[in-house]
Amino acid sequence: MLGVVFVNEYVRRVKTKTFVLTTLLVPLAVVGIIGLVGGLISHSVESESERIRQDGIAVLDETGQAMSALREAAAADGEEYRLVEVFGPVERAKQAVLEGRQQALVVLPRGLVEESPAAPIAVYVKTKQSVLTERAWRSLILGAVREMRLARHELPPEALATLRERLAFDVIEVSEEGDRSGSIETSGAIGTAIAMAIFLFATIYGGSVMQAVMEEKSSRMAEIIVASVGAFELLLGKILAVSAMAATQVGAWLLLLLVGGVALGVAVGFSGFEGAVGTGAGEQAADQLPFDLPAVRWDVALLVVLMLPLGYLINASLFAALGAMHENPWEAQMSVTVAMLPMLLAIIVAQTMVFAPNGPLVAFGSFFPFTAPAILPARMLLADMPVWQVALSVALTVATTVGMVWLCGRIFRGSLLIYGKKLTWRELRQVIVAD
Amino acid sequence: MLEIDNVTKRYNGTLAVDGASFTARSGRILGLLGPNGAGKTSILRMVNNITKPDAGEVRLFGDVVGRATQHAIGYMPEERGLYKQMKVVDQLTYVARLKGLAKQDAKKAAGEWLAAVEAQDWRDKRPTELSRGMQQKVQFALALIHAPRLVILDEPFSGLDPINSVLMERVIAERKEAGAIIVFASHRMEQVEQLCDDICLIAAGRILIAGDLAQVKRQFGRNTVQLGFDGEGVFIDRLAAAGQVQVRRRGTGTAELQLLDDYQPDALLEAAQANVDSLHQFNASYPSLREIFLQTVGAAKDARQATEDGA
Repeated sequence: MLGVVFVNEYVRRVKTKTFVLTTLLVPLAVVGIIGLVGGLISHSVESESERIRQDGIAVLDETGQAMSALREAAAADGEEYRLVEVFGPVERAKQAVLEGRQQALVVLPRGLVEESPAAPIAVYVKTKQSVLTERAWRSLILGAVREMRLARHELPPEALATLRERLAFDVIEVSEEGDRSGSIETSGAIGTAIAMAIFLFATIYGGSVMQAVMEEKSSRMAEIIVASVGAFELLLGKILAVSAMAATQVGAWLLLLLVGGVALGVAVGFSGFEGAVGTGAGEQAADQLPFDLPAVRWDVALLVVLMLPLGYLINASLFAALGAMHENPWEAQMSVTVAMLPMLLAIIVAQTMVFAPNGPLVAFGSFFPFTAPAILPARMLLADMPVWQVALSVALTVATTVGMVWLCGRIFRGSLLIYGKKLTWRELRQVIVAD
Repeated sequence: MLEIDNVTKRYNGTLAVDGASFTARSGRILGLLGPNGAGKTSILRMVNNITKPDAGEVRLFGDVVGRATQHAIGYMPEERGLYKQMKVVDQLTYVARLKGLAKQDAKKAAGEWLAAVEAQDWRDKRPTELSRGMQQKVQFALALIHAPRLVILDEPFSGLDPINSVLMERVIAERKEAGAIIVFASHRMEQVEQLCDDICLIAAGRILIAGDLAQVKRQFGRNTVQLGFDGEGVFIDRLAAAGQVQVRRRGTGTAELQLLDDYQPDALLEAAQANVDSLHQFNASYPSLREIFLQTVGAAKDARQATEDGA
């Protein structure tokens, strides 16, 4: 009977126009939004830097010796900043910015090269600049000043080279199986990514689970159906069907994005940008990541594949239980906040684990069934967890998922036959313990 | 045979069904009668294995009801509806599948039942496009689609027009002829009286009367008399004042009286002939189910009140 319920619920949902439309249109919309936002940002940044290039940056050099070093640094940067030296009091130079004749004014205070200057290096602007522009200016100006300060000491070129050399820094963990150097940020990022994925799926599809449960009551079909099939089977069939629908939709999105990406890659490849696709670009991209990619840990990958659906199910059953407790959609929607809390906890633990990787919060998070799906894989990357601990955590999560669906089934069965009102706490307790 | 055997059910400490026993037989229609909140729906839910009795047993064809017996039962509950976004034919097929029919059989049965309730044209419609009466006929078909040996209908005619009522009555009669047990819960007395072979009267969770309808009526005796006459009806007021009759209905030259205590129809006939110009109707009959109902439930209530006061 579970199969009959599942097939009916699944086919019914997948055959709706809304499902087909959202499945097809969402990837387009996402790509469109990202493209639009990206395009707008890069356009405005470009037009801004273009304006700055045209107008030039005014430099008021109170030290009287920094201009050439700054020009040199600008040339080396390749950004072709047009630097215009201005003289006179700061107030007059600022007036030019205020009147829009100049986009930016850099003031290099007296004594900057020799000693700690009395005033900061200041850049006056007419309007707020992009964070990228600000960063470029900062590195350009500070770099030039640093070079001038070094030059004053007349250091031998070898000493300069030693000073400028970028050194590698690594934290290496020793273990029985050998040394390990994976960065802690990776674990935090993986934990957060899983927690966010669960949060995203559960919030997008939790509403569908809730609606599917409430539908039985609101359509007054519940009594006919539970006279044929157990409430637990009905509920499980519904939760699984909505989950399968979610998997179908997400799978279709990924497939569409993949096909779209490949098609785009081929198109770009044909129009002459060779090397944009293919392995070379991938390796390059990996080199540019802000953290080290650890060698793929297959045990962790497997665990993610197992825990992601469990994490979704455990949360979906919470939504289902809330749906069973309410008949009024408005009240049910309000109660969703409760279902959000465990997921928020998982995200918070994942985000804070980088600060205290060995702390009790992470240990707790890797066993607590509502956070374990996200925290356990991350913790496995952080530390050597004995197999029995991993097994215990997985077992706890599986048991809690089954327990949640069971509990929800009791509430569902008990509340199905109470029409037109919300369950009181007393009734809730009774429907859970009743035969 | 459906046997309700000394069944008790409590909800939140309230006694909903209190040691109820009765039986319903194949090829007969049992009317389960009772005021609102009497425990009818509680009993029907236990028969359907939706809830379980706290004490006692419900047996269907000798087996205690459970998951196995559910397929033999067709149920039209009082609180009923249809899935809003599902085609009529799909709803029928789905329920038939849940009741154990194979896919092809379920589809075939859906088609046949749509025809049986004259609903072929709505096959691909959704319930939002149907009138209330149409929806009710679909719900009726849902209860019968798997040819159940026990058919349970809770207030099946409420809100139905006479034409569709007749159609449903005909279908019920066919199922009865085919040997199904039919249990029909209602507080619409006339309909129960017309359709049922047996009745079971329930109030406050207790069975007050159960048995063959004709026998039950006989127990209550020929105590209702309809009169039609020309002339003055003052004698009726005299009899009523003397506590010998109770006036049920009265019009110009007509009256329906209930004889009280040992006052016999013969005595009333004599009194009428002596007092009116001409008597053209005198009809002594069994009480209507409605009267039996009011009398019995009223008496049970008084008795309960007395016990409670005494305690």
